[in-house]
Amino acid sequence: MTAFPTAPAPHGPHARRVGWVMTQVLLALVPGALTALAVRGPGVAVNLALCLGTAYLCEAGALSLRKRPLGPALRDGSVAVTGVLIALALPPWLPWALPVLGTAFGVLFAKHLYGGLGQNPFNPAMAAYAFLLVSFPVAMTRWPAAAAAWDGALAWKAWIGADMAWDGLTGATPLGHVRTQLALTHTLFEIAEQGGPPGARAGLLLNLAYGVGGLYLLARGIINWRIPLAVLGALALCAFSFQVIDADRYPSALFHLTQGAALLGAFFIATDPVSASTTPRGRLIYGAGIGGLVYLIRTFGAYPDGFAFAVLLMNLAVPLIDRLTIPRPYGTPDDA
Amino acid sequence: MVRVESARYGLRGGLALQPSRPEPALPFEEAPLPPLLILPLQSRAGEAALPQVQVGERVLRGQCIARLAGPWDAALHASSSGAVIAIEPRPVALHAAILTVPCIVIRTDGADSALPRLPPCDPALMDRVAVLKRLAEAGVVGLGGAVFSTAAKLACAVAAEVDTLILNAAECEPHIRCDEALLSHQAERIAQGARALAAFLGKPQVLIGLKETLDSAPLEAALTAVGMDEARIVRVPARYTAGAEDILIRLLTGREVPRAGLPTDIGCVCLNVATVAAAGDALLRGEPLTSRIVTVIGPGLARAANLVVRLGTPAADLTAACGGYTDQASQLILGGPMMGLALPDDALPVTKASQALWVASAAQLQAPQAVQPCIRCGACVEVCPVRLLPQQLHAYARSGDAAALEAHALDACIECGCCDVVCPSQIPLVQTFRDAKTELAHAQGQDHRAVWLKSRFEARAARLEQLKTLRENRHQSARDQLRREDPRARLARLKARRQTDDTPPKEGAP
Repeated sequence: MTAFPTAPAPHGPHARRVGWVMTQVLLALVPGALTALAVRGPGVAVNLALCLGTAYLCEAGALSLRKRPLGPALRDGSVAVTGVLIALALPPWLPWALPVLGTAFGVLFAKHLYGGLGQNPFNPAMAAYAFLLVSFPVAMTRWPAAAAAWDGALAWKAWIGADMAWDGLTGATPLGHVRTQLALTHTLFEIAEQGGPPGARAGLLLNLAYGVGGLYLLARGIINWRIPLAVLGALALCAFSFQVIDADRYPSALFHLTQGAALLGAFFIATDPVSASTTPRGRLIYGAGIGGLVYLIRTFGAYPDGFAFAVLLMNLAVPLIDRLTIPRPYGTPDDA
Repeated sequence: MVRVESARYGLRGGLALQPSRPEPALPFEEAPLPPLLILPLQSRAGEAALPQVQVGERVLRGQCIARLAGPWDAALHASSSGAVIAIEPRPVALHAAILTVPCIVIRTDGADSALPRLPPCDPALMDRVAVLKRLAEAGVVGLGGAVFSTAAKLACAVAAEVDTLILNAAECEPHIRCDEALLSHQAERIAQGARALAAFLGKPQVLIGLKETLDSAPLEAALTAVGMDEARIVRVPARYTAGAEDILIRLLTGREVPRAGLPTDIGCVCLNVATVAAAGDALLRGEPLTSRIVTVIGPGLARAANLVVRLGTPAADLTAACGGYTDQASQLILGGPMMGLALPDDALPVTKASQALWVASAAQLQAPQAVQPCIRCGACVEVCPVRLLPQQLHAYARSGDAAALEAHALDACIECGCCDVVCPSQIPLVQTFRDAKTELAHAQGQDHRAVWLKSRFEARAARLEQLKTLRENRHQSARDQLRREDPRARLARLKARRQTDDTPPKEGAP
């Protein structure tokens, strides 16, 4: 008689690990991060370093306060994704305290106060971004113009938070520019005649780079198609409908899809599994809600872009959406 | 000509675990007769069968050695000739666990002498009760792993007047290839069984769910040879859970078995092809079920084969028939990677439920990993063949929320394990669901018992109350009668009575 060790079924095949999934997400962010570095300057790298460092420190601190083992949580890579997403959303050469503060808020308040990985109802990166935007509206909307972004002395002054005259050194984002010009009763046609919004090409490039990363995630089966499709579809549908009503005042769907946080948000932020809806139909509703809210905030709200608020608002709705979209199990009549 | 077509309805979820092209055929052989046969008296949860033989008694192949009380319960037979050397508890693989149950142990004599065959019991000529009785007496049970009595299943199908007979040849778990051997080498047994059962059920439509990577030619020829031209062979994807009864029924007919219902509720009866072949043997040749095909496979063995195995053969005899273990042998698994049961040693016997013996290498097995928190990625939702939300069920199972578990249809879970293997957090979902089901059943059982006890108590109280009222009424009427009676007439009556018999008067005593 030969004895053998036993284990419960299923005996195989090998599953993916959370750490592998997070590594794939980070890998998919590489083209976007490189493009951001190219168009926004070295300030992006500084933000990345600050946010990643703070994220790991806060994760380790929170885990030890909660008396949890550090190893598995630090190795699973989820906190790295949070840190990178915050950094990529921030303007370059932000006073150094802001990325640190924002990331600490995201990791400590939005993640660990709710119980850590898997328990947070809100997307930690977007909670951090919204926290900074509401608390430091001026600094958070100051995007250095191309020349200033690569000027070492100016950048240092800005980074240490020194008092400085920003006149002429900042440029509006394409979304912000269009918004301001429309408020000044210019038409989109006039804006286009003046050469279009400045930085529109950079915005397009950046969005395309995130789009490439997103397609990689879809191809590897890391994210499901429903949320990105619903986000982009709803955003495009809203933009198209309003453009049909008045093409002078409402920019095209293409403009909305390729500017601001559109593709970063659709592929990397709205798809955060923990805070998103998990049912198949719920994901469509959740994504469409984000797309619609982004359009409303961009067009009628107080901010040029609204991804963070749209995501956080829909995070709030997730428990309800999940409950109302339970799929019909096999063998259950339709009306049950 | 028998029609061969693609499945008209889609398969939801599941996993692609098998190669999408046909695998090289395995050798098909008769396993050598083992020196010992271990036949468990229990095959499903419930009562153990009663032995019909005694220790020391000589038995012949096909002799009934144990039976259950129910009319449609399957009997148990000696699978070769020899002497009963013990009737004692032994560990056996039953359903999803190793349990120690009473077994009849036979030392074979090598002669393999058989009882004379029973006369044929062709459903085309015999009445239905005789057919069902024959199937039960011949020990025919579901050989796809469920080992439910075929007579009981068919009795249910007759009562429900089913219109569809489904033969399951989907064989969807890797390493399980016993039906493949049956289909390519003994297709005529399947065809004859199918014709007999179709006649028994009153000519329903016959659908055969055949895995798309298997060759349909032998079965087509066999069906044509017995005149079953109206049967349809439906090719089903070589995808895991396609062979689960409820899933296959939907794939072939578009009908869904109601939750807590049976296939017969929607006019279907579904039998594994091996079961149909065994039923054919029992009905047309009068042969009881004493052997089955078992796939013996894996890198832990010198060679792989499909073996015709006497029921009760210890696993060690099968691995020896396949050249013995190699260095790679890491675990011995009865069944496939998804639902198979890891055996603690190779002394355990093959039962009617055993489809494959897989000697796995360490590389094929999933190394135990630390469980991480659920990140709600939804990978489990995508693969669930019955459209459940495993991650929500897991959360509710952990918090013990019985109402939410019911709202999310925990009872519909078929425990296929798909969610388990795709979970990046390595959460043992199936185990969690099994435990939660057990707990729910226990809680409901307690509820039921409490309700039952209360109703019994109330019924008793009402009965006592009623008796009391009756008694009081009787006493009252007796008193009233006495009061109305004239005292002298009463005295006369009592005297008269004392003279006729000596029984004391009763009326006065309240």
